[in-house]
Amino acid sequence: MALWYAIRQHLSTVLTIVGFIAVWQLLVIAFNLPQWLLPSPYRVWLSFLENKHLLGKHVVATGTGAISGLTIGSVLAMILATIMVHSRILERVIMPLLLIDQSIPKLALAPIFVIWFGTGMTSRVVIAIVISFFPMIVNTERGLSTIDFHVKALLHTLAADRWQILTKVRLPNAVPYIFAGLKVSIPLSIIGAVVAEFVQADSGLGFLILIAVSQVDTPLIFVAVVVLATLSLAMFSLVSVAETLMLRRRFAYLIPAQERP
Amino acid sequence: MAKMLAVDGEAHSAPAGPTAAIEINNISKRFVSALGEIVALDRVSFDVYPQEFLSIIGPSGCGKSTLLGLIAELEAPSAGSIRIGGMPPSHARLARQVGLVFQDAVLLPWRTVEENVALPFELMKIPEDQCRDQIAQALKLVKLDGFENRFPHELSGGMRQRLGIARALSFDPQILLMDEPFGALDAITRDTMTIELLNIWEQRKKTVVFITHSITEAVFLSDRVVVMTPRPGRIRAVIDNHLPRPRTLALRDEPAFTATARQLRELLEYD
Repeated sequence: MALWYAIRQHLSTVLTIVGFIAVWQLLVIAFNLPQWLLPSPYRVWLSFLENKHLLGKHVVATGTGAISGLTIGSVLAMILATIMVHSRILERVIMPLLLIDQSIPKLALAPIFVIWFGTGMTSRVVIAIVISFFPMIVNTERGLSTIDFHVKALLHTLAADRWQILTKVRLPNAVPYIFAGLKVSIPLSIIGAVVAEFVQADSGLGFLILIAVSQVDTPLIFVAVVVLATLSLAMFSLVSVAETLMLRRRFAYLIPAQERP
Repeated sequence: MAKMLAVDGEAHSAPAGPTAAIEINNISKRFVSALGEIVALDRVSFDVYPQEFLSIIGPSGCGKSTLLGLIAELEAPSAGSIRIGGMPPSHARLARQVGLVFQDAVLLPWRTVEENVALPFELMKIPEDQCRDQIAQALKLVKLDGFENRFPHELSGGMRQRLGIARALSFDPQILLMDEPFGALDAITRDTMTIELLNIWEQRKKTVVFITHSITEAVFLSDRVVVMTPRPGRIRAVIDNHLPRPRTLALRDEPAFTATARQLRELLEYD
């Protein structure tokens, strides 16, 4: 039952993607669109084959920036969320700062970060941190704090101390929330890295897009975009697999009955 | 068979003195809300004797859950004092003298049956090998042996509730506070659980304070029943219930049972 469900789900995903590519190809042929406007999937594929020796180092640059930013941002967010849950005063200090942070269009700040941190890896990482941090802190904070009133009463009568409440109840309770936050933050971290490269860089997929634009090499732009999407999807899948492995046993109650192993 | 001890408003201190398991002295609890001050409990006094099964019955809003919360030290009373085994509630709590059972079992869903019962021992920093027997005994007592490695969502409502009781009993507290523990169960499961609770109580001989809005449950289980009325929450009467033990479900058809039940119903209806 579960296996059939999984096959059906993946099959529909694959069919949708294949269908999308087919329609795209047909549109380009039907309307005879010029390559600079909308290259056909086949033309994008050819461009990929032509440029694939270049792609490696750009993928590594953007990927390293995004993953480092996501990791540092997530750890930072989890630490801050834990502090917020434990101290009303610090929560009152941090919360407005978070709101200010969230209302600033961080993409507009990117040039400033590049001025501060240079055109190398640091800017990528910093922008990725800043942009992917918010969903992580919001989700983690919620996971740590949504403890049922009765559970709190139980812990109180059992005279649990703060550390015990954190490690035995709050953190386990937050695990599914942390994964949810990570899934939102992954694409954001990649956006952060690419934006840094758009401002000023000497490598990365964002940099590659800028070069392609200057040469009106639209197929190469599409190659870079598809590679970025693949990178995002790969990171997402990795987190999803980790999530499934971690949640499969202890958090099976969160999974709809028909999908349970 | 049943005797009314006291009526409305007055203090109900039984002549138990220092031997009482729980002493409730002139307790009031007020809440301030947008609509003004609400008196949840108004000068409530009674004692709970050691190893007694005492029920508190009353309509919603009579302050019975608030009272339980005060005994468990979830809140502090606005006036009056509570003593548990001669100690203030905070000391009793730190000495782990109080086990709490709620209407929902309040389990940690990511923990197995066994791990849920192990929680109190973990919090007391008792090493695993020193509490293994107690955990196994508690699970056996509520007939959940064989389900150690299941998760709460794999159990029925009755089993979850039994697990909650096992956890409350596992670390051997002297006092068991139960807040409508069978309120969420269907009638048949409820009957079974009532019988099982009596068996457990007869084996472990805890002092039980049992909150309910079911007259049948109160008469069937208790040695004494505290009848409460709402707005403000006051004690209307404390009823002695000398029905013979051990009790079986057939007891419910006995005239003595129905007489006590009628007495309770009249006290609850009279407004």
